[in-house]
Amino acid sequence: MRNACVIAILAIVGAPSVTAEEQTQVLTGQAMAERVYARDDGERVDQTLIMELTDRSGKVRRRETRLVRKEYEHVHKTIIAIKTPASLKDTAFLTFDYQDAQREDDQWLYLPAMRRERRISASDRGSYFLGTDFTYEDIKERTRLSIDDFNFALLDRPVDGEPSLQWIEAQPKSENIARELGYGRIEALVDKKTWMYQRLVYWDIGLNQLKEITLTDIAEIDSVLTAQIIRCENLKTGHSTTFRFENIDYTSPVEDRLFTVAAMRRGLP
Amino acid sequence: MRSDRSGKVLEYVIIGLSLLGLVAMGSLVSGLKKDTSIDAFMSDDHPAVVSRDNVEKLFGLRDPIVIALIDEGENALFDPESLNLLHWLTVEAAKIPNVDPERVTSLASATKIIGEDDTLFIEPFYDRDITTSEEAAEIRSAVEQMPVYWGTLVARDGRGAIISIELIDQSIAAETYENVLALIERAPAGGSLHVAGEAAVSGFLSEYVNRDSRKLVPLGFLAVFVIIFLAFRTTASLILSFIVVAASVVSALGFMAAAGVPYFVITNAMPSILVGVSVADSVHIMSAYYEAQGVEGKDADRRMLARKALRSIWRPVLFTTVTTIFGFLGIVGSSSMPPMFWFGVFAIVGLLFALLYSILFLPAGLALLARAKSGAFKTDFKNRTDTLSKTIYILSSQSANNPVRIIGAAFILFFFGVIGAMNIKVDREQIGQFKPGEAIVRADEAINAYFNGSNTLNIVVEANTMNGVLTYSTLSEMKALQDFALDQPHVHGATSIVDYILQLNGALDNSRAGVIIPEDSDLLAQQFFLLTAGGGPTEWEDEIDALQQRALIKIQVSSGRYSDSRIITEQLQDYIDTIFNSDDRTAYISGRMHLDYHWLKPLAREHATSIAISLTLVLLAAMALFRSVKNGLFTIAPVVLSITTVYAVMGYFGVWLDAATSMFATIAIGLGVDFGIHAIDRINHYRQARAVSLDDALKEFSATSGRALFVNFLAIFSCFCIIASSELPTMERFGGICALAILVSFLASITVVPALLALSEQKEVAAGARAAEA
Repeated sequence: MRNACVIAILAIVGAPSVTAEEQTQVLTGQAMAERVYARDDGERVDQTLIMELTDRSGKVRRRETRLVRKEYEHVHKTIIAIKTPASLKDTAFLTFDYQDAQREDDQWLYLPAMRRERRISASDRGSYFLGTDFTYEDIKERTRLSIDDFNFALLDRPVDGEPSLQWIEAQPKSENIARELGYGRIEALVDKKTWMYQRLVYWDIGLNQLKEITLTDIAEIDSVLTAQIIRCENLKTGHSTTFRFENIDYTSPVEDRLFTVAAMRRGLP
Repeated sequence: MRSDRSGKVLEYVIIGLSLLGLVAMGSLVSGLKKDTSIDAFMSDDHPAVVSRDNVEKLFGLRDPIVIALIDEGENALFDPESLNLLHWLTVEAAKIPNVDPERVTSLASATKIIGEDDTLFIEPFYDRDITTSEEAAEIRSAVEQMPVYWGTLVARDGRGAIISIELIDQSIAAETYENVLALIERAPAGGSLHVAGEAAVSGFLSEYVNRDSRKLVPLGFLAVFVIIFLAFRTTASLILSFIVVAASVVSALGFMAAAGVPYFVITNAMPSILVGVSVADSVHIMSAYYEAQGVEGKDADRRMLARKALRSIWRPVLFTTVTTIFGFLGIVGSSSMPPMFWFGVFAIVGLLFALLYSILFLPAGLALLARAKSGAFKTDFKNRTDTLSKTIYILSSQSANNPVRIIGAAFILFFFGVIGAMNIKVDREQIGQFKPGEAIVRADEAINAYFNGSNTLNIVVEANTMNGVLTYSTLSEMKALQDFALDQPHVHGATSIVDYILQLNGALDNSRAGVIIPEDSDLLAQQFFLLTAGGGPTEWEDEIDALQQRALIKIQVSSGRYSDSRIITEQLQDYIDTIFNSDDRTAYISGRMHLDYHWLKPLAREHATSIAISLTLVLLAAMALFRSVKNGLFTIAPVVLSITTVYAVMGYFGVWLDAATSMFATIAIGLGVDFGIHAIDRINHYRQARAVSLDDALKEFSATSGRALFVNFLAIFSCFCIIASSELPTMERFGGICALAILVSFLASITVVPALLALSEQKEVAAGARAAEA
């Protein structure tokens, strides 16, 4: 597990909580990033994910999906099934993200019009996720920044009237990581009340501004702080993707049989 | 005494203001912006440009810089060394400033879509260094299963690969091109490398223009000064003519900068032409001045001499400027291409300033500075025996003595010109702007030899409904249209979303590239979703739009010639109109070759219109000047002969009529007619003023204006010869044919014009005799 040590340490000292003392405490950029990274986002979730893809001329494509995720000891399993548009109904995407970095992820896709599923090759971390503006890394890390991949530092850029907000900068630890992720540097706005990023600005490996992710509509759902709208805008192409999460459920049991090829064929209700 | 002082003050004021004006206009020149792009030849609001821009915006198309890697070795591209070089170039190119790292496309970044066993691979062919020949062979095998990349990313025979580099800011393409050249300089071994592409051509052309302008203008000035010095042999003549010429060039460029009009490739010829043309008025005025000084003596009042010179010569000086302007008006009035239109406009500005400085500054300057007598001028003009005057006299008097032969010879030349004109071809090739053997030319040749071609034509398919492209019928019709395109000459590639659907369908069936388009619309939608899921949200935008209502067919052509693009474009348009278009879908053509087709198509018509405008205006001006239809027609005879001679040469030697060469005729009319005007004006003047025979008039003309005319001709001719020494072949041709036209005009004005005058006199005498007999 890539970040096992950090999470283990944090687990020992206790889950991060937001106290007035901590809000005023002067933390390093690294410490802030670790706080954000260790934030609890539920062991399982069943939710409706609406993807809105907007091209530079303003044309919007909308897909409504059901997304179910569950964390197991060594693997995170996710299934996404499309509900609309009608032509894509029941098209499903199943992925096993292994904690062992050496092991390639498993992915399957089910095309109902062919009535057959196909195993598909694993995607790189820097590859785009299902043709959206988010990358697999953004999705896997749920818009957090891996403390294994980046060095963090505070930015001296106060946010007027918002003492709980702090800009930090993330620099890839190596050229290989930068190339793998496609990021040359990142600036992130941390909310010390929630230990969530509110905004992330990315630069590509040529240090051209690349994209911006904003998290809004943050609410506590089943005791988990959740951004219900996440928007990613590519600053080079003008294309953007908005993820809207609805019917979020962190508590109901998630059956293991959902994460099977057979379940894909049957279709998620 | 008082009038002498006030005259001097006036001269100082004129000279001061003239120099101030020169400095002021000169200060504007630094604001000139260069535009060496091919787009410059069409106005922004031309329907074809608007359509092209919309298509580029819709499909996110940009002009890339292309690196071609050629490996003629045993395993061609598919050995570790070449594949690693390709990978290295792909990675390193992404680090170049202004390069969009996500839009560096090559086999080392492209996605393969292949089905093997139970797995569908939608992933890069390779993204790391290759160490063994087995790995290289695996990549070859994968590439062989992706025909859509054959001829596009990989050479048709596997002996090369392409790296397409898209830029963030196209306006600094020249700088990025230099950085790409520096990159290939430090590239490891693995094959020969060539850099091409639209952005590279623009960058290369920009460098050519810089080198040319650094050479042509100084050489033009130098040539003119040598001629002026030899003709007048005084310091004053050199200084004064320099200021007149500088005012002409600087005003044209300064006003161009002030108006925000860019410096186009073709503009490079303008300063040299203005140098040669603007000195003509000075030559005639200074000749008249030094002639008068020769007659009146060295101690004669210089102000009086300057005024006398201006009085004697103002009519032809003014009219020749007007007729030259009429020549350029022909370009202004007929050309739809901004570089040519503005060339005409600012050449006229330069000519007006040359006239202004010639009639105000030059006499003032002569009055103040021209103390020394010119050693080149003698007092006894009538009996002058120098070789030049003698030669002009022999040519003109012999022509006048044998008018029928000379006019007959002129008609034969005219006849050959007409035949030649019928063989002239309107054509152009972008790469033909560079000399054979240049790196950019070799790169273009490599791409056309190993890949599908460096020239593109796009067809936009529009369905009437959303998702309308992803239907069996539209995709099948698109495939048929692509197949039809591939049957056209020089077309080697035609790709669209259809090819990827076929590829994916085949991969899902574990077969090689499929040949069947699914008929089920839901399956097509799901397959397209699978394709898009494997890439970025804009990865497919250059194939199909977000609403799947419009798609692009990209056609690659190995010839960039207009004559080839015309055939292809017209064939495709006919197919689209008669077979493809239906109630459900339509298509239209766009792309670089389509633009070339549109801006060159009206060239022949615009060329003819410009000649008609110039010739009519010049004829009317000549008739008005001489108050005689006959003399007006005689005046334009030399230019008509010069144009037809050039046509003959172009026709027989296969010189194309293109943007630059098409301007020769109007320029030849505007400049060449000056010789006829001066010749007829002076010959008639001597005959009427002194009541002498035609032969005596020719003798006096040869020694005075004929000599000045020769100096004038030599200056213009030299400047065109200098333009012909340009590094740009198109400018070479333009300079060469203009020089030829000027030579013919000059020779005809001292041979054909006297022959016409003599024949006319003979007819009048014969008519008079017949009338007397009657």
